[in-house]
Amino acid sequence: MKKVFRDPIYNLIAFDKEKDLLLLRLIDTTEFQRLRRIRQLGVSWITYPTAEHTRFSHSIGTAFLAGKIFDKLELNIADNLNDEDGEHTLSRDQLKLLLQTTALLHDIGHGPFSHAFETVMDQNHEEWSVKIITDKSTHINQVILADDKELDEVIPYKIRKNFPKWICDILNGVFDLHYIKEIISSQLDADRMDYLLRDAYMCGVKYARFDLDWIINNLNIGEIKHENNRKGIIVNAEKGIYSLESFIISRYHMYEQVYFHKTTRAAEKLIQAIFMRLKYLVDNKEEEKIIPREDTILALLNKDSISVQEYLKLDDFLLITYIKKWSEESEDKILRHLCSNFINRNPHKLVSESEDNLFTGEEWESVINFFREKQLDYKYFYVIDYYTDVPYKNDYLFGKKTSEDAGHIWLKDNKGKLTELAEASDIIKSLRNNIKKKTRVYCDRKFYKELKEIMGG
Amino acid sequence: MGFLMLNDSFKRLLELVAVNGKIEGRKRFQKLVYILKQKGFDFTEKYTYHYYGPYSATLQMEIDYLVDSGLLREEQVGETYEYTLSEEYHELEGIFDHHKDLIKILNDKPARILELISVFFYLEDKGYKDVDIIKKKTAILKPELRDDIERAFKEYLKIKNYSIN
Repeated sequence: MKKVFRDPIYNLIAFDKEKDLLLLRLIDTTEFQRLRRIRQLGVSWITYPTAEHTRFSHSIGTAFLAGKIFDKLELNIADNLNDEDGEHTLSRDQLKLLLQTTALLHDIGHGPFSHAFETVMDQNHEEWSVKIITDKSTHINQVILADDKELDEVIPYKIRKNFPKWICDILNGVFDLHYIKEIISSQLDADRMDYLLRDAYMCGVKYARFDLDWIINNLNIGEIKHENNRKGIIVNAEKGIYSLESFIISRYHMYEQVYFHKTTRAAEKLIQAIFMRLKYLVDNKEEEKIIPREDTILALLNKDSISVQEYLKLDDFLLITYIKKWSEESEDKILRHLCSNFINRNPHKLVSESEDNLFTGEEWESVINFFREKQLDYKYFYVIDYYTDVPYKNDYLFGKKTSEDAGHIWLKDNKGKLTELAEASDIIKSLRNNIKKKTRVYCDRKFYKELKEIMGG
Repeated sequence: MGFLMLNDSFKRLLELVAVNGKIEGRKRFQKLVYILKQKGFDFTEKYTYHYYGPYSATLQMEIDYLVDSGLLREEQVGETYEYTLSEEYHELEGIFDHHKDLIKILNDKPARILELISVFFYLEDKGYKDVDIIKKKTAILKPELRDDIERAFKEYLKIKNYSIN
């Protein structure tokens, strides 16, 4: 028997009601259902009206793809896992289940508005994921460790009891079997493949068109000579190179057109400005002006530690509700102004954009003076967006190919020789060496005209 | 030049290069920042585990940005990139001056030892407590550095217990 989800990217995603019982139970947990209330692309819906998809559908898609990739690997399961309680050898099915469980839960710690919130609140969603999986108070932890005969038949408790730790090891990048981590997080992973296709589809852009099935069909596991012969994911050079080129070009286009879109970035800056203002009010003992108050957010702004259960209360729905209320009820004028800008889709406006360039000098000095004369702190109304801040970093194309830290996608030819994609492909090589990195300056629309005049624009 | 519009992350990196004089290698740069962050310095770069240990894509982009802006000088010597401060930057505040000793101890170590020390810090941060398990895990993650693990672990304990106040 199968449980089937309809999906716009893969049409049908089927999980077996027996073999995949753990996955199906995890999907039903409170914490996983919360992902329905966290949009995949933060505030991109401000730019793309239909970018309303959530971490929920992406997580299911990633688990599905991870399983598909795993099925292609010619594994020789002799790899042991070392642990405090001795060595374990997992069967192929058990290893696949561990991989798919991790894929399903890889984004479980995401907070509202994803990146914008994380940066300014100094939170780390990866750390929250680990806490949510390991904390005994969560439904997820209880489902994995349940004393349950049905589950024992698929995955016995003595193996399953290590799942929380192994899942966290995979997410933290230190799992013994490196290729398992690579399927979830690397330059060519299930996470990226799913979000590129899903984000493009849901935004309505026609960019990310790459031959997913062909890439997966030409994947395998192999020893990477350049990395101490560790086992890793490799691609058939002759067959895979063209679809890999379109995969990398998809990433490039999605980065330029969606993830680094100027309006989306402006909206993220506005969210950050709202939280900076909240923080200012808390730090300056004016928090009674934040009406209504929201205890978890105030605790985070105060740098108090909060429990997993408190963190899980936060989602896009809750924050948008509060931003709407603050835009009307708050006693702080600046907070009201910024919140109302967000609710009425009035993000900051682009003042200037430059490539590989630093903003310095008199222009900046006169901007500060402009706000000083108005007795306003410029930081809410005039902001820089560095490309280094973007959540979906294009670290493959931005990397230096000769550097020790460059990202790798390994191709293997029919003689067994390994070549890195950017070496094998002139298209990718040229893209890598010529990519433009942009830095932008935005300001609040209210001051746009005046500022443009000052800056002689 | 009037005001320089640089955020605090960029300023901290320039200060770090200044106090070292020179940082030899992108790997060394990565590990120095990671270890100092684990020691409680307020670097905000987010790290994940890569093939060479804890690695921050943000840090790498920030370094590239500073190079592109002409504030950091990057020179390729063999396979290594070396970083020094350029004459363009005049706003040093000396924020690491009180910690020169610790930073010098770190920067004097070979890159592979720094790599191992940062792996120990990482594993500890991710909940690994048992010393033997940490060493065993490190040997799996870094087979090529197996012979240096004992030595590096002693150095790690010294750094871990080094008081920065």
